[in-house]
Amino acid sequence: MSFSYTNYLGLKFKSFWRSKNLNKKLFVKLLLFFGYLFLLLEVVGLGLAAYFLIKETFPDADYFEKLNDYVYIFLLVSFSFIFMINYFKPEDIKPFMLLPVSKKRILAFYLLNTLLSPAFIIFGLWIVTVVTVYALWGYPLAGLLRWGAALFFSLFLINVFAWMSERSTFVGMLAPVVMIGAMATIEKAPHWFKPVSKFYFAIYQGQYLFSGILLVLGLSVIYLLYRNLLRKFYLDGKIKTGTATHRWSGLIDFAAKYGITGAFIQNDLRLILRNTRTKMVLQSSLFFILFAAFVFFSPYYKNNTFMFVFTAVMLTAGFLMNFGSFVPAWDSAYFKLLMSQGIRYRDYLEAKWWLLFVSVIVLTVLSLPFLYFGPEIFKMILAFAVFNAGMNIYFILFTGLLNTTPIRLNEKVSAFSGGQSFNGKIFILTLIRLALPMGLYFGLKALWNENVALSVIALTGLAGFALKGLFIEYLAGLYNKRKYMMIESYASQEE
Amino acid sequence: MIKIEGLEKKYGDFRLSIDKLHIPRGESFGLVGNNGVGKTTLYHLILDLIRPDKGRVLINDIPVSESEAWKKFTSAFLDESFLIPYLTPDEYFDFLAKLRQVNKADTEEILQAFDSLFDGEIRGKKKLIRDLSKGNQKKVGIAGTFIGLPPLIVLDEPFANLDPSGQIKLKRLLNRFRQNHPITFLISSHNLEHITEVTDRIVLLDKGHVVKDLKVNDDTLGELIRFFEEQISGNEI
Repeated sequence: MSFSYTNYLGLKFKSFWRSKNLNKKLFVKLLLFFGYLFLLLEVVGLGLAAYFLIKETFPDADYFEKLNDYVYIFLLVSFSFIFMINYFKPEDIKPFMLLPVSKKRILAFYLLNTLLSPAFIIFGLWIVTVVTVYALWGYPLAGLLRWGAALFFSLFLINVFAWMSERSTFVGMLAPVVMIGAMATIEKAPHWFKPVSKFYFAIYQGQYLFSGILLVLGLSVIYLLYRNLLRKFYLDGKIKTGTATHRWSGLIDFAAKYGITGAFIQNDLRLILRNTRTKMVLQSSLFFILFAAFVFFSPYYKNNTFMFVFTAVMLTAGFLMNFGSFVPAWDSAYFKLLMSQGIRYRDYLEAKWWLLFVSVIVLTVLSLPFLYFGPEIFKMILAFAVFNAGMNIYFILFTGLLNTTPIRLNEKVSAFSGGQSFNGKIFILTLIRLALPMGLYFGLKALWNENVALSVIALTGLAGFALKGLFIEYLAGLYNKRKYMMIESYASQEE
Repeated sequence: MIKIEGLEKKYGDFRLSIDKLHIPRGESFGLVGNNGVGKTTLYHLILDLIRPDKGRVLINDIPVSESEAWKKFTSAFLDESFLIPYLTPDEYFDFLAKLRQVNKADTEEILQAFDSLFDGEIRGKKKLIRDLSKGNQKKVGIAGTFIGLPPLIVLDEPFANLDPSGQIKLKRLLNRFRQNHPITFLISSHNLEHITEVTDRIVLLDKGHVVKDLKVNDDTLGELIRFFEEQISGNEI
């Protein structure tokens, strides 16, 4: 009996249901499921509404031709979305390398499996909805089907590209930029993308030459990339994980001057620069700057104070939340070593504090361009920056202590696939972490006014600086108490 | 150096129970036993990585679960979770030296003793520890424990994964340190020949209990082999 696609699916199925932390994974999957469901409803809703929206806005035009003018948005959005969630995960392939199954087959299965991914289902359903709606309003079904098939094939092509790409997370982070761009240029862009629209329209009209071009071009690209990957199907090819880099050595050497705390900071810098997971943390911290630009630019959020406050908090807390929340889990791989050295938790925490403190400063400096939106917004950013650096660090270090899931440092985790170290407790804690500064703001603003609220928030931050020794000492005491529990949970191999 | 008093730890059906064990200063102490007899549990209890159900462990008369002062003169390498995967070996040694407050010259002197064992594959290279072979990782971990020459060094299976010359070199190295420094060693191994060559005393652990406590001499190896042969005789093989 040969190894079939059902066998492959069966193995994937078992690896999920027999995993050690099934409950937690189920929770994450459930959460993601609802997230995707929401997105799906939104996208499908957009597909349903498209016809009527266009009919209202451009009553004189050909409604389908008009829709087709905006097909580039669909392609761009699906492109960024697919690049964010679908990419090659070496650890998925590795176990199959030694099985008596041909490489071609494994790659084919792997590629086939991406058809079941949320991105495909969501964007695929959009195509189905649009085709159905337009067919119901009397547009020729054959043409619509050709058009839909062409779009679907394009999706698949995008997916193959995403699969081959190396820095997919980075490209994925472009999604908000693409969105801003698409929104800002919606008047002119259809004109720039005229060739693209014309291409798909020609397919709709039944000019088989264009369908042929798409098919031949697409298939040859798929074939070439497939061949390319087949050649890399060795441990030192695509399957390899991790590389040695020695960048930023000046910064690392600089930290060495500061004794034991310096040694820990040095180690943390290397940790961040040399592991896949931590590099993703860096990227997503910068992501919040893009996110902020999106919120401040977008006319949609014009008078949405809640969104503005949320953004102001996250802008300077990006790294703090992403990295600090997982202290000490970042050191889980060698936690026993640390625990058997004569170190004081105070030194260890002090190093983490400096790292997080500097991150807030750096992100605040990077936020300077937001002065463009006026002093009101920047005042808010600054007040929350002081709060984040002064007070929030302790709170986040405290919540990090409650996380008992080890981190496998050098593994890629997709931003939306339900990351490691994600669990219910952490999720609730994230909400609390946000609720604290935001609640403070809205509460004080309701009682007095905005200026009082921001002043109190900034003063709380300053008070935090003054009480640093006390807070760190308290946290060190907690580390002492939870020591055995942390060692035990970090020693488990699986997250 | 190490005193164990009425120590007990239960995991389901398994129970580690050592009433009394005293390892004097400067002794090289060997621990032998099949998988699952409680060696790792004992190590973890000694290093205060798990909490005992009963009894206690003292290092230099300091109860390990009450004060952390014992860490100042203890170092251990049990498994790869004692290595920092994203550092190069040199950075790892440097990090340990800083934590133990050992200066560069002293660190260098100790590491030079390991040059032969390293075989030119460890130091001055830009390779990260996670990219080293298992054998080379082991060498890094073992050498790391010697930085600062702590009075107590704990090693779990130091010979496993080493190549044949590596094993011989490590034996010589351990014996050299035993002669020249007042270090107390706690070493476990499944290789009966190696362990008898690097220790003064060997304790045999079985089902969580000390079953033999032998002073190492010319007969010890034979006695150990006999013990394990008796265990399987009459059984399936």
